[in-house]
Amino acid sequence: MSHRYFHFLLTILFIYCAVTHLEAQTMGAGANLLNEDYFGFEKGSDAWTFEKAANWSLSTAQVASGQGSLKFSRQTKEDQAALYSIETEYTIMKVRNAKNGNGSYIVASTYEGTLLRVAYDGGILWKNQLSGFMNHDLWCEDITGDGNDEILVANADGTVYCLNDKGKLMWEFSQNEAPMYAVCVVKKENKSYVVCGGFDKSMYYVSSEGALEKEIKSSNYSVEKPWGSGIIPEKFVHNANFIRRITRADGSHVLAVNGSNNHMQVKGSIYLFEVLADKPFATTKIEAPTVLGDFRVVDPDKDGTQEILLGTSGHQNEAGLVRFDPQSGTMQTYKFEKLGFGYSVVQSEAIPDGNSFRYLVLVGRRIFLLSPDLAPSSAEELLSRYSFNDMWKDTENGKIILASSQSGGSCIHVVDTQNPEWKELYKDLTPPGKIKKILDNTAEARTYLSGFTKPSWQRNTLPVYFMTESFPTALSQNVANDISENYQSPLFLGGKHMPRVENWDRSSMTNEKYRNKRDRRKKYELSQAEVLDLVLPWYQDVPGIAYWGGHGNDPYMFSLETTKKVLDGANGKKTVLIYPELEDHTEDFAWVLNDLIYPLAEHAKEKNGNIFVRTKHAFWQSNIYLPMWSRLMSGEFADVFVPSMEETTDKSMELSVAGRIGIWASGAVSSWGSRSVPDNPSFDRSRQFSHQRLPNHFLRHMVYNISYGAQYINNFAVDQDYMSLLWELIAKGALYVPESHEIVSFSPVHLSMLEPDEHYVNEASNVKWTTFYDQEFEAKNPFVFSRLNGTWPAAPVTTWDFSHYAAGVKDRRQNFLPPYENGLVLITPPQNGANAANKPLSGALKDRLHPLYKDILKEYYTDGRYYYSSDGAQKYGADQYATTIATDIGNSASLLPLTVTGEVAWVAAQTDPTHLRLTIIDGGYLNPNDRKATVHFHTVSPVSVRDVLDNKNFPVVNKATSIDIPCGLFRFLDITLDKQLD
Amino acid sequence: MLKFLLSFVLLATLHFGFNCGPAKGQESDYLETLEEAHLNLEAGEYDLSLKFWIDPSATLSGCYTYIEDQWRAFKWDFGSVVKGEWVELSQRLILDAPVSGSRFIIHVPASLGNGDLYIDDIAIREVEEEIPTSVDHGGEQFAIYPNPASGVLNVKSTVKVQISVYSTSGVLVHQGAVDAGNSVVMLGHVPAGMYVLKMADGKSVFSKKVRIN
Repeated sequence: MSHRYFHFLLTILFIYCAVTHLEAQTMGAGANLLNEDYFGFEKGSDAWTFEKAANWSLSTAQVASGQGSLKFSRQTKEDQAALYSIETEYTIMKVRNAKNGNGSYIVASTYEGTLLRVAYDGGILWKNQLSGFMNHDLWCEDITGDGNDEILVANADGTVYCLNDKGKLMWEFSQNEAPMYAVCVVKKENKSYVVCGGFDKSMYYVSSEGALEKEIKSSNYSVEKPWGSGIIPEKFVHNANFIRRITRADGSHVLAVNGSNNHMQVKGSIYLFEVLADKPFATTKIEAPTVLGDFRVVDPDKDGTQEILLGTSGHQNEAGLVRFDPQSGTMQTYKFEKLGFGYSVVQSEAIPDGNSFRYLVLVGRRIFLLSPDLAPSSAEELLSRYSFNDMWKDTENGKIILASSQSGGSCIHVVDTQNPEWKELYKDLTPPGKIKKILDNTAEARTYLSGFTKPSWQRNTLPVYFMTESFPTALSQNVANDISENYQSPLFLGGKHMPRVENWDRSSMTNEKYRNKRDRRKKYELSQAEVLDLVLPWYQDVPGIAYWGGHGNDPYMFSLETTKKVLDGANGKKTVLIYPELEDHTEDFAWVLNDLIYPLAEHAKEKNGNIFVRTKHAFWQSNIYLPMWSRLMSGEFADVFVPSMEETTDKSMELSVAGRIGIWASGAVSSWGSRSVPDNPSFDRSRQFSHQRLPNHFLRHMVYNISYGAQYINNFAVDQDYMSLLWELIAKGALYVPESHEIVSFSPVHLSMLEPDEHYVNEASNVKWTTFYDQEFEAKNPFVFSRLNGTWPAAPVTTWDFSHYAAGVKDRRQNFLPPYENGLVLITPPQNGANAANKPLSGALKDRLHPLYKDILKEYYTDGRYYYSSDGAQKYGADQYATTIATDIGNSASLLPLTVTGEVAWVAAQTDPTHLRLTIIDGGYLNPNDRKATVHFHTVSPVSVRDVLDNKNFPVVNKATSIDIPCGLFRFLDITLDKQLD
Repeated sequence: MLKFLLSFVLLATLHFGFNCGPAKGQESDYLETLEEAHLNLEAGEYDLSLKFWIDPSATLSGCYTYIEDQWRAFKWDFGSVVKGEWVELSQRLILDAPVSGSRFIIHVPASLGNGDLYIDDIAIREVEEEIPTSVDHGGEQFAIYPNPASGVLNVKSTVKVQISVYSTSGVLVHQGAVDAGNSVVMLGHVPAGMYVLKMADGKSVFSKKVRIN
């Protein structure tokens, strides 16, 4: 059908509808309260979301009245009774089942903390947004005796919420703001008790009406002891990692608690209590390959004796299932082998198998079926494409329920393991909903990119160094080859992982600590000559190399002389020496800086060498401002040092990005770097659902950082075909890589770091121990950057915290794509006042930024704990002074060309005197969605706003325009201005 | 004649498989209103009705509709629906609080089958109860008419009563007393909608919903 014919028919249809509609109007109105055009489907499609729903359409084929109706058509689904998917439109993180008089239903918790009741037929029966913070644990049980289960929720805001089966809040229980982490129900003498606990180191018995019945402090019975030197928490306390119920054969209950004091390194113990007892009657140290992320009580053989299935949380090399017999206290471990790189939680259930049973174990994207004796030879492995956020068995109907795919999925998957077809369906499962949407949107972006040509006014792309890419497929290799042959940027560096490092004579080292340090993952067996023979050939046919020069565990994996010889052998090619985890802030490390790092920097300065400082936590807004790092901050090695980030508990990435960019913008360094790796999502190492197989979150994180000028990229390959889109976006110039003076999305307000407060430095780098909570100290000591230690997974940030008022994030979680709605508030070296002497030699910040900032910068000062006057004489409390800065940030937004609001991350840079490139990114790092953003124009008047890929134009009305961001993607907008911006 | 010709062209078009509507995105189990069609409803009782036409070859066994604000879910069971015909189904919607700017969502979960389904004439109507002309309440006789009323309500009572009129959101919009016999309550000042009329004679309270047009 030609377009002309199509338009002719549309015109005819329109006239017909108009005539008929006029007739209908004269027949008199009814009592229908809905607009009959919209809900009678008489009007066009502008009242419904047809654009996002291909199988819905307006139709005239069958009508009940008027000329139109709504048609739904689904023809492609096959009978998938053994495994079917329920689309929820949310990223589902946890699933459970509950019962009422009508049977069993699914209870689901979303990434945002919303609870859903989902019928097995797919209906969403109710929603409750609760606090808006993460739900750490759920328990469903009838505690009122009315025949309907209540739903108990342990929330990151420190509260246990109790909902009825209609989704109404019945009561809430909270003692303080430390996150609640575990909840269950036990009974004694026919009375139900909700038992809950978390990071305040206590466990609480709560009545079925929400009243506190009893508190049991872990200090009353804990056997956990920290170790090591430096700042360590108190002995004999723990947080409740799990609280669960065991039912004896006689029906009586036992309370089981897994206590730990470190979410990354301590497996802890299982404490067994009689209900309401003050002390456990049995305590058993956990024997497992690593920390626990799952704890289930099952009776697989239905003999009335329950056993505990413990699952690890960590690297898949350490994945294990531990079967614990609470009666004997014995443990049996099943260790999974060769699962590949990744971070997963092992989750286990028992399913019927003829007259016996098998264990069903979910690890990443694999399901293993194991025999009752856990014999390795019995293992049957089912490999799917995607991993899942949770697995649950509904004991009412035997169904296995999978939460959404970890890669941003939006479905719940229901598996009937009694239907033999389930295995093949699991292996072939490509989740519908958002996973499909992301894949479709990405494919569409790639199609548009193929037709994209860089505008004539746009300069050549700055070099972006991909330091650690691999090309395992023909597609990724072809894309990389094409870029290397035809484009100046990005550049793919060579280099390899080095399991063997140098064995050299350290006897002359005067620092004992670092003389004796070794990295246990390395074999120290190479001579200097062998190192050079191994490394120097890597330079062949590539523009440079990147490899580990050392590590915080042992910065001296190679002697200074050996690394210098590598730099000499580079013959001017790029050498990026990666140094992860240099957080040590003791005098010992100051010695290392002077003995190794600065001398190496002096040599690298002349040899096109870089030192990639890949540090964790709050390093770039804390440690780096200690005197020991002053030579880096001076700008003396601006072309050598590259600030980058390392993961461990990524709860404050909104701070890290402001810190790194602030140092770069100040001129202390001329480049900055970033990193997307599988454990970036691991903000809580005891719940590492970090096996995303579709690296869409990597793609958006990289687009955000590179749009802000990051040029050194240290990624880990997950799906290089997918990530090759990023390389092409850079090569073709759709993704604009700005210099700092081109960026116009910095807030005029910046926060300058003084030498950091000691408590702040310790707190911010002490993220593994989980037992630092001190209610009195927290109440009396508000910090500018707060709640950074291991006590606060997903906890709300305080209203006075920089993360809240400047970055606009709400919790200590995966904030890789922060909104900064009033512009990125840089954390910088001091520019004025008493501490200005510490600013980089390269000049004042105002002279290094876009000219528009020259007279509008506003500087505030902090040591991470307090705010200070410019002369340092006055000190202000963080909770008192935050409002002043927040107000200034809000008011200063009007001095920028534009700002952006919405659940997005954004960057604006000037590409030409009359052109801006505005990058807007779906801000849901693990919960992607279609987003709406609003661009507010302040000091500029746009002539046009156009997406450079799909050429969509966005009209500007009243100095604002609304932008739709496709789920899992971004828009690169060219904004043409009516006059030059300078 | 013009309409006949237009109808002919339209039918011919349909015969060749023409479908109206814009370019499409991905398949979805959901369809939602856009802002201009979002719902605004006062608290109260309503009838929600939809007309369905299910293709004879379809396996669809039902669908859901949702009102996002307060998340009111309705399942529409096709078990008793004759296929190949338009069938109207309705359910009672009770809102405890007003709904403002709420999405209306239609959801056909994948587990509920495949095939073609047509929906038309979605309607929400305030519940219009059958109001008896008179009530024997505790030995006393009350009558209220007409209902619906156009600003004037006739009240017939065998005793003197206090009358209070409330909106469905609980706001008192009229208060007064009527003597035994026939009286008139003037409600011309209140907006059209559903109201609750309460009559109290000191011994008991009688309430009834009335609709003011």
